[in-house]
Amino acid sequence: MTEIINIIMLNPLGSMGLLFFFGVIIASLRGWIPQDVLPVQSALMLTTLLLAILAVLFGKPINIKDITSNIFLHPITALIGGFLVAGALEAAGAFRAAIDILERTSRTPLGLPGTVAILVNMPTIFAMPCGRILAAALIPAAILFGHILAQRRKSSILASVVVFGFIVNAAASCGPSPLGGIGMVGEGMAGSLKIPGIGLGSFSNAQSIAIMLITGVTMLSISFVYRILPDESLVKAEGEAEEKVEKMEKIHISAYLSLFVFFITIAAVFILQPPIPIQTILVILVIVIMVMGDVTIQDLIGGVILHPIMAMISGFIIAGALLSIGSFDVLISLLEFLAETPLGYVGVAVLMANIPTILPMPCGRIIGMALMPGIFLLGITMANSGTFSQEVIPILLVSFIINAAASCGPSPLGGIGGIGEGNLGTEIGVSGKPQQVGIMIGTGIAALIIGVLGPI
Amino acid sequence: MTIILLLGGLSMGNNPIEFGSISNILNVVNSIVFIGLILIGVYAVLMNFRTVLLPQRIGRIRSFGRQLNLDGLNCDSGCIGISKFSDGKMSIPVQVELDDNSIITADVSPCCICIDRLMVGDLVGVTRVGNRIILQRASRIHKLICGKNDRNN
Repeated sequence: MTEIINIIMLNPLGSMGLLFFFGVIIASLRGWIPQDVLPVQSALMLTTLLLAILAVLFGKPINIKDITSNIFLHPITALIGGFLVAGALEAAGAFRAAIDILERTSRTPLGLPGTVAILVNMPTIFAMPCGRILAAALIPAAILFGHILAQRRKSSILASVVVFGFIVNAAASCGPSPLGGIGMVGEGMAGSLKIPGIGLGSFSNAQSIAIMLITGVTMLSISFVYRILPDESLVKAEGEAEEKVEKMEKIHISAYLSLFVFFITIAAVFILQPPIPIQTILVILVIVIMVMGDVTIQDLIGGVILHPIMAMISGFIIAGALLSIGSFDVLISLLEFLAETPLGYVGVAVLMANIPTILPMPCGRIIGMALMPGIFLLGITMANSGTFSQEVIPILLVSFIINAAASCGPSPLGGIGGIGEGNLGTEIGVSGKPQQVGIMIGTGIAALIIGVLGPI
Repeated sequence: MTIILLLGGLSMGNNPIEFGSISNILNVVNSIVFIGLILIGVYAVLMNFRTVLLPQRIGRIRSFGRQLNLDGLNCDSGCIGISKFSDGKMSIPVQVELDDNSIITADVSPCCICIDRLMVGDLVGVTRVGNRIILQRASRIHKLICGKNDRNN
């Protein structure tokens, strides 16, 4: 206890910064800060302002450069490029084409279970910059297939299993996204240390495999532990409505072509790793889809969703302020102290990697960007402790990133889980726990993959 | 062209401009893309401020979907039933009743539905951006001006 007080007294400003940051996060989650009055991003901006004032009072004014230098433009521009691609795909009808392909697949030997397995993993296959893009676009297919599966197997819980599996997959899919995903920031940080094998996309496969496990575990826990039953009349009505709608719609060949070009391009980026920034590739991809799908520039702008961009920027800004006033030094000192307890460094690392899901924000980018410098510093501290190799840094980063990316699923502050809950007519917030269980297991799996196999 | 030359110069530092080199041309293209994306981001942010602070019209959500569906008035939660209406789109169509009692269809992003917890009866601002009518939750100022409780149908 004395040691903790010493750490706090050594840097009272940094300690206050940490206290305010976690205080705002917890107060938002507990509903003490009403979100319709002060959303968490705005609350964090006000906290930054407060910290700047406190820093002046403490005689250590925050240099504005410290904050702006922490706003990394590459992930932000990649994210904007990703949204433009999403807007182009949507306008070209590629998402409807994907639903149509799924329907056709269900009539192949793969059958309904095989199709559902593809459907629930579709968000990670597409890897859009924000999970809500596919959550909104493909939820009709999830409801439809969930309804048919539940009907055929005479078990209504299967509708919940399919929908929430799809939802948690969508939530986590912004982690490995090459279109400005959260992982790109971690890859850049770890890459700055010249760790062999770390570069663009080096965290993606580990994250994608972990997401598949997160999806599976969430589905299993809903089926066997949490038993979330949907409002059957609602699911039936929506399923039937979707069946009618789907039969009426005709999809143009350019929609399939756009989808094909998108997949080929993304696959080529990962396999060939061309020496061109991802932003340029995305813009070329957008132009190609625009030409093929007769897409207008307004369609592209309509695809830009500001919430994730603002969440990312607010995360960067608060991280810049915390860095500037030494809050991360306090955090690392506290974690080092904790590491001397039976928790050890491994226990501390597990705790920190799971912080985003313990404190789930409506967008994983908020806490992801705000705490990533702290996680990076913890990794460096662990590597320098002599017990761990340098590989502990990417292990810690990838675990934290996948946890942060998926954490918008179970968030009670308007998480993606709400889309599933609303459509299934279940109690609001009921899908949080099964998703959290899945995410925590997937976090460990991502760490194991990077630790054992390295960046694959 | 001036901008391209300027960007080319910036990306090549002190080296003389040599457009014959492919890498130099790529640098120029990358710089244009980078700055272009930032400008699009700035435009999107400004548009967002406009739709929040200065919407063209103010109205209330009557139902979710392409058609006015009065059954939807019973829903008391954001996100509810959007599957019926999204049809492979990443935005959700919403029926909005304007102050002159006319009904229009506007698009709202899935983030606004969930994070802003938009529900039937909420006061919203609508703005035409290109060929779309974009919907955003109305700011507190508009709520004060309208002088009515939110979700008051």
